Amino acid sequence: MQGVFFFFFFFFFFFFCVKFIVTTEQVKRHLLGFNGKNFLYMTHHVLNSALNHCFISIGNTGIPAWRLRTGCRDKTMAFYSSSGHRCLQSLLTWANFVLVCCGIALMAMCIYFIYDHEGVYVLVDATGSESVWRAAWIGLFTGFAFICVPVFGMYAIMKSSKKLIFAYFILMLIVFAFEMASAITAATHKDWFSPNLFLKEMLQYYNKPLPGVVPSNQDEIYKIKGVTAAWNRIMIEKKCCGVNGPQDWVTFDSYFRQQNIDADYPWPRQCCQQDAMGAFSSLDGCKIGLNPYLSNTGCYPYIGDYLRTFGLAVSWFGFSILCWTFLVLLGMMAFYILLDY
Amino acid sequence: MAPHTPHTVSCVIFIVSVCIAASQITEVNYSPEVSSYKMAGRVTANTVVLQLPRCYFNSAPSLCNFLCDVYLVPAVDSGVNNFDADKTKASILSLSPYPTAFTGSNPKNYYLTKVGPLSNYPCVVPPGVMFFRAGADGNCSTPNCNGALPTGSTVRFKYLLFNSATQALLMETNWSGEVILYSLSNPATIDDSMKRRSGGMIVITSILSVFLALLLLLLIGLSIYACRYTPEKEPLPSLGSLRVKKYDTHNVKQPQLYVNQGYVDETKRYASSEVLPSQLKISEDLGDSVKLKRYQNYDPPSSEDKNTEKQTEQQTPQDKVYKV
Repeated sequence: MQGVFFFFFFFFFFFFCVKFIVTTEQVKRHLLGFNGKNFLYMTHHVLNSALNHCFISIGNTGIPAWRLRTGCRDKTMAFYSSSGHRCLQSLLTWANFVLVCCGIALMAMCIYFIYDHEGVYVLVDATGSESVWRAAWIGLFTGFAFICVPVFGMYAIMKSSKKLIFAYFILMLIVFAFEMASAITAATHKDWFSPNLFLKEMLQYYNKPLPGVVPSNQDEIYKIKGVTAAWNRIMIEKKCCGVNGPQDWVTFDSYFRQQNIDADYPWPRQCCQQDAMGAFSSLDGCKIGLNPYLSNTGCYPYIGDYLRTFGLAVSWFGFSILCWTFLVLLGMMAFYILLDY
Repeated sequence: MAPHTPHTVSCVIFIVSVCIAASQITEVNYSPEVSSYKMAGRVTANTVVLQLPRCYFNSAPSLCNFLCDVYLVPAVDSGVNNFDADKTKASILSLSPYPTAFTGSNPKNYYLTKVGPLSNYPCVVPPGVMFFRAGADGNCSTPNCNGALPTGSTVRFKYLLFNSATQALLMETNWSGEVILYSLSNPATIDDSMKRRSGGMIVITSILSVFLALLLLLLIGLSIYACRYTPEKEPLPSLGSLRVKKYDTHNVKQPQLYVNQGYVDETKRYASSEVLPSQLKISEDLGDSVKLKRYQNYDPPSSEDKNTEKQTEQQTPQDKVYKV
């Protein structure tokens, strides 16, 4: 019974859908005033005109643009005034506009990463492989350059001036080189991030006694304070403990271990689960590492995932922009040469 | 070997304790075990979490529920033999106090610490996680405190039952298996070097280098092309109407012949002085030249002018243009 009902339901549903589509199509054609034959003719016309724009046809011979250099060209029909010129001009302007959009996006992305909302910069800085941030800084400026130079390029295309286009080439190559540096730096230094890197740093900097306040020690003091504060914050916020887990604090020697007795502080109090008011759920349970009272997961997933995303984004987005830039520059070179004809 | 049990209820505790003390040390067939709960701090560098001595001493005399205390002895290496040699001595509780148990020239390598009264550890298991943590007091100084165990040592444990009144050792369990404490590794030995290059890095670096090299080559080629090869400029298509060699300036009163200097170099040389006629006759001689007449609006049009105007209207529009 239900089957029959559904069958009819779907049948009518299908029927009405088809009917609706057909009628709306009929109404449209009626309103626009063309029947099927007309429609075919119009598509043919549109396609033809599009083809004619991209291949300069001399008269009606249909000789494409690239055959023009071979000599069988009409001298009175220069490239400069042809529709092929107009077509390439608009194509390159569009390609440059895409570059401008990419530049804006790259700049925004780099600002997002430089802002460092996860607060892990100090951790990476203390390990000495903070070059992903350098890559982001370079990316920020090249993003700005990718906004400015293609705009200049669009002007040069509009003017069809060979000198301006040549200047565009030189500027673009400089930007290309910088963006390449950014992408390669990000890709290379992303590989340095491993749990061991942060584990070593955590053990050697967390709670380290501050050296005397001498100008030469400023950097060290900044690192110690920063790493300690960052770990305390991350472990509470993310409810995690150590790099790989609470065992990191127990199995390795560290400044934290030297200052605290194993029995009382097997791991920092920040590893202990706290309620909404910041009170420990069970301090004794936390001290022996009982499951609900101690954060058992390591913090590396939070730090590592963020940094991996960082490196991947800066390097691969830069790479894709550069691939597009390469194509645009090839097109511009073709345009530059064709301007002579 | 069951110990003496008092025959009468009126037996004084003192007598009982004397009776118990007189007996031998009974060894029960249990051994302490490391807690079976999954916890991060089960074994650390200085502590071990042990299961409670529940039901271990159920063969103890019933009065022990009020009188006896359970103790734990952790022994490191030679401490096992030292304790076995010392356990019959009356002063066993204070023979190896914690602070000097593992230090000094000839350490005993064991210490005794109080776990709690026997009545706390009945056979019935209450809900919840219960444990005893050896080494929980850290660096303490009292004789029977639960001090930290030496880092990285191999420890064996034994639960003991003492008569709290006479301080006599009544029962003991077997030695536990060896528990190896963590020895703290030096963080400087952690290998934080890069394991291997990622494939993405190789792809990005190689492809981008090729791109930049190609672009540089193309740019060099392009600059050579721009310097060397400039296609010859075709002369502008010269239209006849533009090729006016000479014309009168629009000066009605003193018309002069203007010679276009642009055509001086031409082979025909019709614009040079030797070709040009020396005596300039303005009106009839020059067929190309156009004679303009100044027309002033404020002049009252004479009848002659009117006639000419009518005539010009009938003329071709080309002529009409000149009559501005």
